[in-house]
Amino acid sequence: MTSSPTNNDAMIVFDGVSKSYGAAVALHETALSVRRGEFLSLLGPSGSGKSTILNIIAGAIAPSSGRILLDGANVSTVPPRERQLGMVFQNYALLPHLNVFDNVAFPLRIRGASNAEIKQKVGNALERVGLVGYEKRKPREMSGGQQQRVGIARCIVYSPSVILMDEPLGALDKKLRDQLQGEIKKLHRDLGTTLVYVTHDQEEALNLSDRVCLMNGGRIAQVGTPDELYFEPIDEFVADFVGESNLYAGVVRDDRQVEINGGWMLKVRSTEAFRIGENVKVLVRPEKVEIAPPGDESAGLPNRCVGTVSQISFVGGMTRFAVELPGGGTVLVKGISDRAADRIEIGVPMALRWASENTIVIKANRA
Amino acid sequence: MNARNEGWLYVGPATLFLFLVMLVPLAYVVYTSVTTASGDFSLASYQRLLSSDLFKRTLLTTFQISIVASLASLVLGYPIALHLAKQTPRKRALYMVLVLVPFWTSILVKSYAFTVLLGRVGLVNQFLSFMAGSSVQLPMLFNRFGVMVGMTNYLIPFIVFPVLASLLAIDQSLYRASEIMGAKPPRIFFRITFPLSLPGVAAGVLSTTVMSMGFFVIPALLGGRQDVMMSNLVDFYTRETMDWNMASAIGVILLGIVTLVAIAADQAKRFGSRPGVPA
Amino acid sequence: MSIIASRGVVDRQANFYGGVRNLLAAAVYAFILIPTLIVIPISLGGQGELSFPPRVWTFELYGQLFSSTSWMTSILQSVKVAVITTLASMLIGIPASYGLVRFEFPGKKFVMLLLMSPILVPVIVISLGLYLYLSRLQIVGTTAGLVASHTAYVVPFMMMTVMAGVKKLDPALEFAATIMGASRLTVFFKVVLPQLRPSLLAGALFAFLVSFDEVVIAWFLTSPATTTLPVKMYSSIQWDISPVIAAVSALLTVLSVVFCLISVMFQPQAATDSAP
Repeated sequence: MTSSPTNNDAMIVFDGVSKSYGAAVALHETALSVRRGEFLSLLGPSGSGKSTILNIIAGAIAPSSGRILLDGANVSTVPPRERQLGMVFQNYALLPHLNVFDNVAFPLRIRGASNAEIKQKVGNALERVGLVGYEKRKPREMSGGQQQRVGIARCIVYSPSVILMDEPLGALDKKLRDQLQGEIKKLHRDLGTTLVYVTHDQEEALNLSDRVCLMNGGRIAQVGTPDELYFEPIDEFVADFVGESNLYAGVVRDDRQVEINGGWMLKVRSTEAFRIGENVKVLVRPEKVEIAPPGDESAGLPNRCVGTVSQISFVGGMTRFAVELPGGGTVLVKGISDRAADRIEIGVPMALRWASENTIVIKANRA
Repeated sequence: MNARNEGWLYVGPATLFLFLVMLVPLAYVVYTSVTTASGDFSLASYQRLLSSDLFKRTLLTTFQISIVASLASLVLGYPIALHLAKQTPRKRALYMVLVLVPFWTSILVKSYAFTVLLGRVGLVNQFLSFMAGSSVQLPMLFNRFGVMVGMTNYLIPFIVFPVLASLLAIDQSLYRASEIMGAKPPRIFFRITFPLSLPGVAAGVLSTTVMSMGFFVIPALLGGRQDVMMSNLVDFYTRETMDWNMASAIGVILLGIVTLVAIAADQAKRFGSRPGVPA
Repeated sequence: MSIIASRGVVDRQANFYGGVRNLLAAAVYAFILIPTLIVIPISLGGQGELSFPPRVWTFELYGQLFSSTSWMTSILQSVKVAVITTLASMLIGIPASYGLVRFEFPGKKFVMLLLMSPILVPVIVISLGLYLYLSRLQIVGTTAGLVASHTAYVVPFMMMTVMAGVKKLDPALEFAATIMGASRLTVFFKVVLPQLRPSLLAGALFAFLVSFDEVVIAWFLTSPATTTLPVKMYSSIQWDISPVIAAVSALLTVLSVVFCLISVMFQPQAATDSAP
């Protein structure tokens, strides 16, 4: 659930860090470790504490307890300007009265670099973000995507040891977001700098990160690779936040079966983490459910039922179906759209089936 | 440098400067008001004032003039605020210049203009004579009327700003909804616009009242002997009789009154900001 | 007041009441503008009776003004005092404006009250206090004393303009510079001030004008040798109405209008919020 803060290839370490504002707790005592060169996303809904963690790393917020280590050194009392970090902001934070060149050169001038050095480093940075030739432009003459690229160039030009990004693509439209996501991913591969990235968009987090730290209500819900979060979620919150899910409450009956409300016995992958008789939740990802007209019996898929299609959502590449079960309850089914789906209509009874491998038992959260 | 105190780096010089040039002189006024020429502590000046008819009359006059001028400026300024609120932002900026120019104009220039306009053979009387066909010489200067006109004229820009702010804060969908329900303009004004503008109105009236209590130039140039205000009394004791003691006492009382009214206004504003009341 | 403005819909009632409102507003606009503007045609009317429209059009009064040593000296004195006051007040006032908007610190309420006090305290009390205090220090009647007093007086007026500008700044820019290693000085001079240029200009113009037009403090603190223009005007209006005052007033009005227009041009959005 949480990483032990004792690795010595850890670049950033949170040791018992918490933050409260009076009676309101923004971050409960947290232990977190970010490895050198890793791309870690802080993911979560608003108020989950992800921005709090980022701002504590940046030094904008002082923690209420605990200590922060950067590259082995305790920086809890070190002001932001001395932490040698780089940061990219959601609304770019470019100086409006300077052109692109001077904006990117700004941190180098602070460090007293020579004109020749500045010219070279700014040139390299602009080349990396694909903005060669834009040196004389002012921010207001550029699009949002270009402005953010300047922000990124300004951040990497002085080679900080840690890069922080605070929802950097939040102000951009979808196509631009997808494009810049790819560029950020490549940038990280090329530079190898430790990167901490805050976002509320789970697709973005899954796409970009080496590891994702999912936050909920000021606590870490789960830290792991995107694969782990998606296929082995630790509890209901994680299962529901990352990707779409079907979740059913039930009771563990034996090492392979869980009884769902209504008496239905589901064959699950494994219950070894749980005791017999324990209340759990069962997760089935909608894309793992097959849907076909009733009467088409294929063996090997033990979990099956029949229901009536109540909703169809065609969103392009995928089509989503909501299927009502006769005993109450709904199953979400997601599949690649094809013309065969035309045969499926609202109100028509369909057979659903899925494998026990794809039926995962997870912890039931408090209601 | 403790982060909690970082702000002091920036405000330090100004704070020190104003402490020396504002606070110390004010303390000195208080000190002078309770110190006799021989250096003893005495409240004699206050006793003299409280039993002085001149002082009591002046106090009354000050309140009368301030409150009436403030209300008059509200009545006159409200249509301007309404007009500005209804403009598009671009037009509003243009019309706003008409209010800003008087705001930036010297009070002496305005007072001088009024001495020319309101005199016995001044421009207003000339105009009235022309209209009436015979000589009209209304006494509009060096009396209460002159002071009122001058003060109201000066105060109007100050009341337009807070009232306009309140009007602009009103949710536009309220008007759309009431129109759809069939309400006519007078009802909309009295039931929606005016009540929701009250916070700005209250703030404006209180601040203009407080401001006008301290006025000196307008009553001096446009008023007569019946229109002496507290400030003019201080000037009298300073210039004519050189009685620093009395002058300071009046100054302290004036400052006290202004402070009390300002505190009362602040409390009223806080009370008016209960949840549910538009700020 | 009609918002429903589809083609063909004419809301006669709303138009009528709108017309009434506009008429009233126009009358009041005229009321507040006439005293300010009428001094200009009056000043062009020459020595004779002040009438409108003027019987003759002449620059006679201006000639008298510019050839009068006493008037010109007072104008020069006012300019001198106003310029130094503006510079001094900006030196201490700009950092203070930034500090009050950006930071929380113990004693902030007291500082805010102190820095705004010249607006809150009746000017006659301030003048009396300064007179008594500077007498003690034996610098009553000096230009230095007047400049110091005006500097303190002008600070809150200038700060209101600058603080409004600071409030509109995006703090993320300052934090971005800080995270890149910039010192406080660098952030203030390279990030904050450049963005504040319009507010600084408006603040400077406002400070200059407030000092230039200030009469009560100057009335108490000047000697015949250090008389400022407003003091000379005040005594003129009270005791020897010289028609030259019309020319002086006209020039002051032109100055006010020019400053006002410059500040509005540089801060177009501020005109729609409150205050200057």
